[in-house]
Amino acid sequence: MTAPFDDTVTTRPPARAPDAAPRHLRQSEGPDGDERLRVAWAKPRRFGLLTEVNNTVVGVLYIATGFLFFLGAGVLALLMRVQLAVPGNTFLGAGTYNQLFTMHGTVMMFLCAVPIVEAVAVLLLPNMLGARDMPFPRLSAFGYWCYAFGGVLVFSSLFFGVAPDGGWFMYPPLSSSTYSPGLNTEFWILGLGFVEISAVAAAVELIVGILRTRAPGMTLGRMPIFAWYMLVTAGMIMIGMPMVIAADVLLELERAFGMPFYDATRGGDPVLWQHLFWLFGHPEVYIIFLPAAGMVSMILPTFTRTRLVGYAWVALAAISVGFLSFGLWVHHMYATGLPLLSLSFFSAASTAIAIPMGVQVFAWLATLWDGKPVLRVPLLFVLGFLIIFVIGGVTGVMVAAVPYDWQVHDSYFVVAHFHYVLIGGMVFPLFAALYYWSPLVTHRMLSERLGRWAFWLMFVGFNAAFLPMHFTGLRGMPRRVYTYAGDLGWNGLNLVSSVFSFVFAAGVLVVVYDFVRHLRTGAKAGHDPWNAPSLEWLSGLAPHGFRSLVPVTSRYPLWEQQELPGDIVAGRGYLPDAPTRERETLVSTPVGGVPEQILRLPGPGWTAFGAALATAVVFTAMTLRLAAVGVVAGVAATAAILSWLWSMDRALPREPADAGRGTVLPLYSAGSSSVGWWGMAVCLISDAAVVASFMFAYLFLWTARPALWPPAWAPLPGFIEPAAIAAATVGAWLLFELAERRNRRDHRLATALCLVASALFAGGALVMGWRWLDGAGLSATGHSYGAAVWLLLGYIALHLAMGIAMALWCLARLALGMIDSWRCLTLRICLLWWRFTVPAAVLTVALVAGFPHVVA
Amino acid sequence: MSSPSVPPPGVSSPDVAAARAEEPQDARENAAGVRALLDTAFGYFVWAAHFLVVYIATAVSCQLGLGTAGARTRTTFLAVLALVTVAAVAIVALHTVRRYRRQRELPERRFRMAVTIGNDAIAAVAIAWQLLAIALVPLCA
Amino acid sequence: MTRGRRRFTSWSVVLLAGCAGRQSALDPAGPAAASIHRLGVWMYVGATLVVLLVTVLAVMPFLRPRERPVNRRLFLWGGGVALPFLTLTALVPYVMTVGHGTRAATAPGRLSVDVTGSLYWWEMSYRRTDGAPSAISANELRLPAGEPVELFLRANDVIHSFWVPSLAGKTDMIPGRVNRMVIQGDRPGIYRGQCAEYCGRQHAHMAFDVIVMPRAEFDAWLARLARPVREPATPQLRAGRELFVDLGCGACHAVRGLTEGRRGPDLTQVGARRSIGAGTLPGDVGNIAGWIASAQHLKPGNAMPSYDQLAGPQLRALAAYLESLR
Repeated sequence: MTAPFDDTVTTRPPARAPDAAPRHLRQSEGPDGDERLRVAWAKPRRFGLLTEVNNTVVGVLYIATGFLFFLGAGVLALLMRVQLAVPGNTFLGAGTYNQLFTMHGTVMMFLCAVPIVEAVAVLLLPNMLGARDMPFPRLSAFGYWCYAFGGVLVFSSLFFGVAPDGGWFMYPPLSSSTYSPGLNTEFWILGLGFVEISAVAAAVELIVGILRTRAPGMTLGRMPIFAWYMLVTAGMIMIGMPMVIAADVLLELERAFGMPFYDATRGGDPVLWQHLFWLFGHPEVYIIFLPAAGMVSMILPTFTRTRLVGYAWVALAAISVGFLSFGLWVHHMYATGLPLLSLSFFSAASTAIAIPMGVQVFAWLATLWDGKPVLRVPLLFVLGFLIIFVIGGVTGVMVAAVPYDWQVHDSYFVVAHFHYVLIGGMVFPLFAALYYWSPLVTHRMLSERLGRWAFWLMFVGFNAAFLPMHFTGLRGMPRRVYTYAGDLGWNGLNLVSSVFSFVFAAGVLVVVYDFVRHLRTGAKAGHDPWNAPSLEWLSGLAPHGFRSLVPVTSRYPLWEQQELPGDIVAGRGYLPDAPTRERETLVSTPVGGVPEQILRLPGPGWTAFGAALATAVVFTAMTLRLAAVGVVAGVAATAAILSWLWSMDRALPREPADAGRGTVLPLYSAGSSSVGWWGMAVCLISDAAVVASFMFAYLFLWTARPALWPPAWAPLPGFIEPAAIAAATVGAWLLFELAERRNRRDHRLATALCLVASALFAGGALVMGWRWLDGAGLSATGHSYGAAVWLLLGYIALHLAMGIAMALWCLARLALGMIDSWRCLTLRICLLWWRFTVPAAVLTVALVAGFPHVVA
Repeated sequence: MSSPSVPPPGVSSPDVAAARAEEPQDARENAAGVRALLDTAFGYFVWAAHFLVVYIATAVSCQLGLGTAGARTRTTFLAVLALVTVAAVAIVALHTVRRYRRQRELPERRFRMAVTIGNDAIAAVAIAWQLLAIALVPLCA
Repeated sequence: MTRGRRRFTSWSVVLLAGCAGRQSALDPAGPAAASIHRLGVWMYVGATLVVLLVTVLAVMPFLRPRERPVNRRLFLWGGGVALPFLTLTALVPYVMTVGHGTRAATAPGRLSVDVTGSLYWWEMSYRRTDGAPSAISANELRLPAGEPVELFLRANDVIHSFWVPSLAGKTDMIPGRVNRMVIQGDRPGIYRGQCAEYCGRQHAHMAFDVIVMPRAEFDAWLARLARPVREPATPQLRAGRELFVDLGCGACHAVRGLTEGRRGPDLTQVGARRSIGAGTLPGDVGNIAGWIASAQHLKPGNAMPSYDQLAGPQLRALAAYLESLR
């Protein structure tokens, strides 16, 4: 076992004893602190489900919604299995079947798997890390409501017979307006839009939460292993989701405005979509798997009564999978006719990921061997996971072998493979997690007997349904066919798969029954029924989590820190009180976990729900082409979000507050140590991925037809205009920097003037850009070259416009006295925007202006 | 990292002005933390860069007609790819050695060192395996 | 070496008995499919061993209590690192060699076929070496046995994928691109191919037959395909031909020497095909009639309208005429 220590010291002595600090908010000793905590964190009396933003409420709602979608998409799968039970079946028509398989995939991937794993993290992570909530509670609530509204909308399209029918991968040109003119594809784009919002929101939350709101003393090396997995997952979402957002934007631009990115007749290329989609789509599998592996790594020690073997190995394996998974996307494109050498690079990269996977599996096995395993239901599901997932893993090695994949790609072999990976790698761990963690939420135990029934039904049903599919595929059955001929040797295999899919479903039903039953009649669970080692079992999932936050010195604090529970409950830790009488949590340094600040958190309110509702109406109106409704809702959504933003960077007490244990911490931070700044930084990483995707699109379209792109008739761009645009952009940024400098000295007039000038420079850049493009006579719809140029410059223009809006925003707050040298987070965050926009703009303009000269 | 005796920047004194003065140091430590975290994954950044370079070089040159070029040009191209690959492995190895030398004496860095070395090793294998592709697979087929 | 290979082959025969089929990757009839299948068998064996190992290791701790502490290094270094590293270092070069073999260049002068995928049917256009225009057929690919044939794959509308599991892996057909693949059938016989990339409503009904025949027979057949069709011999067939022209069938369908439409499958040899509607129905005169009368019912969403207004005798004449084209 490596030493659990990492970096720096565990806690630091206070700068000054509290007594010597006369001007900070003091907290009183005694039981009043507990009372004040409860008042500050009390749930609202009315509309609590809609207005509460605390992770314990949002997390449960999130999981419940995801589970409903799981059941719904499962029913779709059963309907498909009925159709495929016998050859030539007429149970479902072609159109219906195609909608069902598209929705099954879309709902399982986007509305079930990703949201649920994020939801588990939202619910449990703060409690595991010893925080009181996520750093941006309203953002989680907003993400949840967007997801809930969007998901219900997308799913309901099935009942009107207009569900998406282009496959969950939505390849153009089949998904183009020529071949899919209906609303179906629009619903898919809508659904994805929402899920992307909620996923990115949760990812920002998780990254900042994991790095900044850990318990005092919890170094990176002492985090519960689940936090490592979620950190990697969230990072992957931040990079991966933007790629599919970019692909999605291009598809919608092509469908709605005729900008030909994928249309081969106008210089586009359908393969571009495949690159962007799988750049996200392959990591997506690991985005789903890694959190589940994290849950497994948490459950195993509890039931083997021993530490996880090879904590550092597992952590590095998670990191490794996170990175390598981005090198595998062409995995899904082996049959597209790319050069064999290019394919082989991917083949080698795909196989490399087998090493961290092997490390994880053998670390889990070693943990089983190391301890004295107790075979309770959660461990049973973990064992099922291990076996099923390994089978999915070895068939994964097979499909990574380029020539072998040419045979099995898009056949039932692949269907079998990824169901082994996803059901084995995600559903079984999730059910283990359900049996393991639900006592924490419901304070009752699920039934051991029913759990075993459920497990065996699921395990046998799953294997008997999906193992034969390997053979069905090898015997030539392609995926996504609504029927098949009876003389090809597929009949028996399909019938077996269909019958046992119902056995699997019966297992899931047993769990549903058990869950409903246990809410009323389940045995009462103590606060820690499994004698688990991690912190969440001490919080009881109370809204405020812990009575106080005690320094953590071990990876398994409940096992190895005897005095910790007593100290926490007795309020002898940090923040045993609510010094501001509002919700608060501790912010600590990213590596060492040293307390740094007290973060005041927002309480219940309609902001998140209202903004999500308005956004949902906008998207729906856009989908259904209801212009008037869309405009009204758009105004409402904008107003809701602006009022939300306006409420941020509140006036906070300038005196530091007593954080307990003799420490005094500030309540406000405006610089790069504030969580708001971190949130923005993480968002900008995502934005950078979007910009990179757009640049990739531009360059890719060239590589598809290097001799004909840009087309000979397109005028070569000049150099003067782009240089002027870049200069104006840089000017706008420098003026914003200057504004921030002036503001540090409280030179209000100078700050204001700099802001105005910055906005004017940015406006100038916009006007020059428009005239340049307009003057070049480059049509956005005639050829993919024009479309790509408009896209790149349009996206930069959007950034400049946002920059102007931010300058005006800061100006307004400055005028109202809401920005000064102390309270300057808003200004700092807007400055961060500029620091990103300038390099992005200069690079983009250089690419658009310079590249045609390079290749001409 | 700073030693415990240094006044902790995160714990601000009640004096507002003093707290503000400490803020830049605050920022530096946060940045250092992120850098430390990313440094453990150094190998993968090299892997990603190498991967993009060889993949894009192959894709673009095949599109530009390298497939029909003479045997000599093609061999040279493959040799350059192989050299780039060896260089990438060397960079990762160098990183490992430097981190090992710097951190082996510090018991509190054991976790970070283990993660760094492990990541470097996996990245090096992933890069080195590309040599197999370069050696065995014909260009632009 | 040869003996080892023979033993290996016989093993795989035992292992996969009952996997025969005209659309089965487990019953290869060409070198590409065979080399992939050999690779597959090695991987099945390896995979089974790995799964068994993990299962045993996962179950054993529950069977007997352990006294000694576990050897962590053995698990992490042995199982986690060495096992995948060594097996894959052996597997990867093998995989790359197999891949290399299937993309090898063909000798000049071999047969080349342009295959184009359209929404739910295939056009096969055989390039002639003598400079004559290509001979076109549809929903059926004929190959001379034992020779590599070069295919140029295109798509007319959306993405399709060309897949004949018995002969080779699949290659996508992508609008705006031309993909090349080499295919070879060693055993004369009838195989089946099917679209492997989801292409819309009737993706399930986009199949074709592959007929591998001796070279001489193939040459004779190809020469026949390139010639105009014969004059109809009976009054019924003549009536059928008139109907074919009068109904405007030729706007979409070509019959060599009669009409030149290219929007639907070429019908010059439709009577000789084993199936109708790209694998929807077996090819016989009754099914041809049924297809003409109710194509939209049999394969909803395909481009052929249902000619349900035709009277019985008309339909029979038209179907008989088409059936005579071979």
